[in-house]
Amino acid sequence: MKTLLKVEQCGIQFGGLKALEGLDFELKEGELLGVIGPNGAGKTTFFNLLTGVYPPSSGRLFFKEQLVTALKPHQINQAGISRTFQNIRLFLNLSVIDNVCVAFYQHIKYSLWDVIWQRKKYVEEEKQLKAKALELLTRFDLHKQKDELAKNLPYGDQRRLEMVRALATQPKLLLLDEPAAGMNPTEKKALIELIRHLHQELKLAIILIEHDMSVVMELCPRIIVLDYGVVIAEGEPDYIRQHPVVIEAYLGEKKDVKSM
Amino acid sequence: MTEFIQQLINGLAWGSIYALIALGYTMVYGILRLINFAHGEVYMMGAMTGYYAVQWGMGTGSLFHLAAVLCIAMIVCSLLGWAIERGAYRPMRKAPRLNVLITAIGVSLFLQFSGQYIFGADPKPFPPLIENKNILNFEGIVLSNIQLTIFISSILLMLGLRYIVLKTQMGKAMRAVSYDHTASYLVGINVNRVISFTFILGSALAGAAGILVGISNPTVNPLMGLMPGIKAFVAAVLGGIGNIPGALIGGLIMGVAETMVSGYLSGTYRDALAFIILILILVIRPQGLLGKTTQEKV
Amino acid sequence: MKQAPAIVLTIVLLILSHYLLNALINPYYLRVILLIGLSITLATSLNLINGYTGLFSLGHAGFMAVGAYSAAAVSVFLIPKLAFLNGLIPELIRGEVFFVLSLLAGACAAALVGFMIGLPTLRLRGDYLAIATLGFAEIIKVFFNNLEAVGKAKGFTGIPAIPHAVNFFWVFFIAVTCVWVVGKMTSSSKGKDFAAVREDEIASSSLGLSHFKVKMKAFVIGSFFAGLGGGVYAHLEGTIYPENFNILKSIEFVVMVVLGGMGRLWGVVLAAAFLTLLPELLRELPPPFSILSQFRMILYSLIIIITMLIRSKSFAKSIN
Repeated sequence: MKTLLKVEQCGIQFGGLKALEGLDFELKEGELLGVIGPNGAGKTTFFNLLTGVYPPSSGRLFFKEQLVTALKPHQINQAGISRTFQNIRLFLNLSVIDNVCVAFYQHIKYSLWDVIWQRKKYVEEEKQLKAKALELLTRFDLHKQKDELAKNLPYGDQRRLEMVRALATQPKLLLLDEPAAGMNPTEKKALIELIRHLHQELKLAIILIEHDMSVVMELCPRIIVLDYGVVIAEGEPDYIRQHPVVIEAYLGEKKDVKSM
Repeated sequence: MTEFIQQLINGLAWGSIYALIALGYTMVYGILRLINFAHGEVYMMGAMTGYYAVQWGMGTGSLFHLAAVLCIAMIVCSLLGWAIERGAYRPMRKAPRLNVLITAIGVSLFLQFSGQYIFGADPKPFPPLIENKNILNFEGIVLSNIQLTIFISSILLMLGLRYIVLKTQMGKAMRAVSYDHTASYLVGINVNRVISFTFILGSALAGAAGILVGISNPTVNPLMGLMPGIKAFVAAVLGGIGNIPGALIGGLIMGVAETMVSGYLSGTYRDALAFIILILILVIRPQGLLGKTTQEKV
Repeated sequence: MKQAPAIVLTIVLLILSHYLLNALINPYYLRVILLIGLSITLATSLNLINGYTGLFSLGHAGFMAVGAYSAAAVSVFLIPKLAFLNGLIPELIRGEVFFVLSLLAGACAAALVGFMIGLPTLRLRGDYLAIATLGFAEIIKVFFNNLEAVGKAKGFTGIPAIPHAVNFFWVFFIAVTCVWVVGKMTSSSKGKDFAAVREDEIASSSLGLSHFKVKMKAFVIGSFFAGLGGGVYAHLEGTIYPENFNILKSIEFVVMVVLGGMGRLWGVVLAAAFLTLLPELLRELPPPFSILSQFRMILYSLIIIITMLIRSKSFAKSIN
């Protein structure tokens, strides 16, 4: 498998605070990587680094062997990285289906000029877009609410809609920031299945930030543990589970993570 | 050189008035993130109050009269500022900022139109509260007693403001509220009272500015607040919005710059200057001369 | 050209209503109707900027001014020099061709100015943008106030009337076009980018939208139509003054957009019509109320404040 993402000695500094330091790892195409760590470990900052929200203070980023360190967020997305947000950021006053359709933007072939003249090109492609959006929504079980405003959806649905929207940009790499937050056990189980499915079917590389250990342990063959902005451990779930430094970071004392 | 220094003195006098108005803008913006468009009209009402106070029996001719008129204008404007906040802005605390801004514009128009109806649209000659004398004439550089009055009054008012903001309980509460409403509320600050107080304070300063303009300009009219109001806001942005010393510096720079342009180029370009300064500052240093940058959290 | 029949029909209908209205309605009311058409164009173009895209421009009258002065300048200074083209254009539509040329020149000038103003200001946050656009509009006004060639503050006179005097046709042709373009654009998937940027800039950039480009697009298209409206206005009036395009004018358009509901196409059209009509209605109240006529501007401002208060109440309810 080819390398998809390469992070080379990256760090982010806010004033005197080192939010991330010496980050260095590779991600293969189609890999599923979990990132865990206590609150304030720098997990979301890590996503903000990958998506160009905060440019790194040091180090370099490569995506598909292309240097992307200095790119703006929208250019990073155009290169093929898409994300969801920890504090959901939907377009609240747009309908569910419009939230998805606008994410097709980069791939829409008609121009606004075609729209003004209501050309055939526009009418037909628009029809296809709606169908495609509906198909995606159906897979996430959101098709019944397609004309609802996003702000009227319950919390769990909003999280899934954000995933649909991120997928609609047709990324090579999907970054999920705590997708299971606020979900009940049944919903979590369904979400795990969904992510696994996406990963296998679309051959999509995924990086998953998650607070819920069980979700990460079950999904990810490889896990990175962050604490105070530094990688403290990296490896398979079983290895991480027993890693003394990880246990200490999480609990402040030696205790088995399994019991969490 | 003589002319330059003369223009500088005139500019600083005019700038002090901008600064007094800008202080109200900057305090309200700091605390509510609202451009209080009606602030220019509060200043207009200050000048009008002065005019009517003299018409209705206050005498003229001495510093005592001036001080009395100044106090009356400040009280009337405080009440007006309080009423504007209470009646128009407080019910909109949770509304989108844009709606509050439109309301502010509405209040501004309301005061302009009501002013035209009540006072009449024609300019009124402002009564000579103190007689204009040149108290200093040094090789052609003239300082009038009116300019001196403006400087002294402004300095006193600003020192008073500084004392209130830095040393009093209410001042501390104001600073706390400008950082975070919810947190201030949680530590027991009555946020609404602090906001009312801020409007009262800012409006009192605007009222004083109205009188100071009255004694230095020949006439006052109901539309006089619009342009100086907007320019004072520009001065606040120039100094760094929400920043009290910034408003002072911004106001002075604005006054001097305008006077210089009128003096050396042409009066017709004066009105554009404020906005050219504004655009430049927004492009080069949007946080203003003394402001700090903030970043949105993702 | 699937749309050709619809366009021809619209044009025919507009021309018919022009003659109908001219025959039936007295000139005073007709003038109010024309002002409504202009307001619709200006408010709808501002709706794209402020309503759909969530920017806060307070300088729309400035773009209208650029359009009005540029179109008028083309008509007054350039068109007479184009007499050598007369042979190429049939006489019946010669006036129209030149008129359209002036209008387009005005609209393009406004769009260009919009672009240049957008470059430095569209990076600014909400209310800073408001005050910056207000400032630009004011600079534009001062510029025309000092330009000898267009009569300075005394006004730009001698602007030719609209050819064949089909005023109603042109005013509403532009209004319909503007409403059509804004409406169709913003209801397509590609045109949802305006609303996406309004709703959440960070999320929209995570979907590959450059919010700067999207804002610029709204700004340029909006100024283009403001310029078109301005061009028609100039030829309608015959004389224009820099004071026609002052801050109060910009505020009027903003109030229309807010009253009609930001980003609501027909709401803003209705609000534009209503708010243009309102001062005229207040002017002619029947006897018991006629005393109110002298307060009409005060009432106008009170209506703005009260509408906003009601709006905010319902908004507060919707978030609770």
